[in-house]
Amino acid sequence: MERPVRALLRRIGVGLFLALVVVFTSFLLVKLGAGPTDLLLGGPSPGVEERAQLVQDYGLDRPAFVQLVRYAIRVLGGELGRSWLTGESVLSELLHRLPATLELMLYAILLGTLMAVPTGMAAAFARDTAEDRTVRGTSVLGEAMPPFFLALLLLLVFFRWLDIAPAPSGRISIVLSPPPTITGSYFIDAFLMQDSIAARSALAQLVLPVFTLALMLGASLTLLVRGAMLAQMDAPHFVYARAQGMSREMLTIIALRGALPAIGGGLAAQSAALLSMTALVEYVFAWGGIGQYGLEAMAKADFAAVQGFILASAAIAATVHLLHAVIRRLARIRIRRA
Amino acid sequence: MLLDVQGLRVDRIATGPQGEPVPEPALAGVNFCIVKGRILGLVGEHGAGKSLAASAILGLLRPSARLVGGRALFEGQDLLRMSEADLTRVRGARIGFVVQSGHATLDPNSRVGAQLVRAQSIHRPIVKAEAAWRAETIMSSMGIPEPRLRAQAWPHELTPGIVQRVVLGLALINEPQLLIADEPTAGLDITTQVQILDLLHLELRRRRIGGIIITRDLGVVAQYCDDIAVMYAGQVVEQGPVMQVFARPAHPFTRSMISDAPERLGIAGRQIVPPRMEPEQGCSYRPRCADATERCLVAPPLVGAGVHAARCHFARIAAA
Repeated sequence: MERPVRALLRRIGVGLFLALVVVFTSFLLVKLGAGPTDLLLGGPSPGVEERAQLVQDYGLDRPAFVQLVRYAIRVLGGELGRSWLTGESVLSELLHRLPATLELMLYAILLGTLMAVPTGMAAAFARDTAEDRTVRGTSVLGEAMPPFFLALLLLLVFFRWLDIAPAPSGRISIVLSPPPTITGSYFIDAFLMQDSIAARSALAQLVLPVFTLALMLGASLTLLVRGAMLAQMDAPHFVYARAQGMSREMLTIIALRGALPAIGGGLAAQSAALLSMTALVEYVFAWGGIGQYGLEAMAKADFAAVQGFILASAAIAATVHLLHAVIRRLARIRIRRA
Repeated sequence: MLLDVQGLRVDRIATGPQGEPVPEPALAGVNFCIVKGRILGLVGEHGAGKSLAASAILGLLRPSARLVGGRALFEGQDLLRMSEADLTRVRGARIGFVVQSGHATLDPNSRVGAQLVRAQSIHRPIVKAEAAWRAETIMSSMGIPEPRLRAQAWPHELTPGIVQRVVLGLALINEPQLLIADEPTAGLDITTQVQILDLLHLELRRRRIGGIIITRDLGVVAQYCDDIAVMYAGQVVEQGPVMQVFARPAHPFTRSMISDAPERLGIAGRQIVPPRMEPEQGCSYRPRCADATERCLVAPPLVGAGVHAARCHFARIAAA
């Protein structure tokens, strides 16, 4: 087998192992932290007989280890249990809500990168000037700000005061009905159905939450891009490129190309961790994605839903890292083909 | 006169106890000149300011250093007062630069041939095929075997000796009038060093262009240079034709350097960093000079006859 393929398979194997670790950890956390499971499962106030029935049904009288193994087997079979709040299958609820979250994250990553890369590069070229200090200060401020606070701040300004943003009432105006599901993204689906009113509304609803996340992501990414560019600009080959009489544009290309691996790595790490921020932003904007689902489940100690959410976020993180590994591989193959 | 450096002054910006920038003089009025077709050896101890002088002339000072004054007349134009855009047209086109060897010099993300092509196209419009052909030609004249194959290589695939030949090719491909080589063989094994220096010397002679070789090795100066400029603590303390200076060194530092090279020059691993300069206190070499007197508390003048000059009160220079 070719080496890249083997390396990729190994990565997938590591991913699966990590998934097991996550299953184990999430099980343990809920077991340790959430109190008697039968009380949680039985809803607000179960009777004595109901509780006994639950203990019987779910095998809660068995040792914790046995429960874990049974749980792990069920999870690997794709069975995430039912939410006691809604009575729905957790898996189908997560899958139903996933597109909303992915859409938010994807646009935020794109917009955040588009903002951060030029800004970080400009700051690096203007090292230690007033512009550079302004960029750095703003970025640190953005990094330090809690996502929900920034979301509320933007709502206050653009919805309450300026009244140019729509109400934070989910993914589409409450007077419109969502378009039929094609991709799961309301905006794209409405666009495909040539429903311009729905498309415009979906887009308007996206602006503030995407902007919030993009600012949060962009703030730390800007600092990362600046640092990676500066590392390149201090490298001997960059100084030598200047000695050769390279123009500013050419120097920018040389430094950016050298900085790309570091920027890509940082972007992957931040994208993988973005779901925690997305959850808070979803909550503020009533987005109805898996982030909001997870937060609500946590607040109500909805056992199966919380575990489903933890697994989903681990899956997103693992996918992002896998994608990053594949892209890195491809880039390195290009160089090795000399 | 190809390049005439007069009173070049550069401060190094150190950080003070409160984090405030403190300028410290690093070059205290450097003078030297190069005539077309001749090779100047710029020698001195580690930290004397040789590389700093070269960087300042090309406008490549790092943010930690600042130009204070002086002139560097290159074919009549002052490089120190040129705009960055004009300097960009001089660097790599009219002045070639060879830096210390090692893979770190070449752009690690471009193939060698592409870098040679790029070096041409940034300075003049050129058809790609012609640039590629010229790249291969210069690689083969730099003694690189199988240039067509090597042009496709990435820098990390080449040996340090080949890399330095590529760097030399990059410096010469636009046919500059002056070539500055900053320790061109540092870090290479001894046989490769000789090969690279022979090649450098041959190319400078063949093209009849001016050259500066920055080195700590007096042997290199003796073998490859026509003129020598000796730097000590941010000043050129003696300059003249190699034969004359080696036969009758006028400055005590030059004398000590010649008498106990190579240890003094830090080649044997021992590096003597000159004491911090205190310009008000006369001759900067005074603390180490065996012949110092009270007169040395006054800054020494440049004593010279014709092409040979030294910065010492007691210099006796016979007319050649």
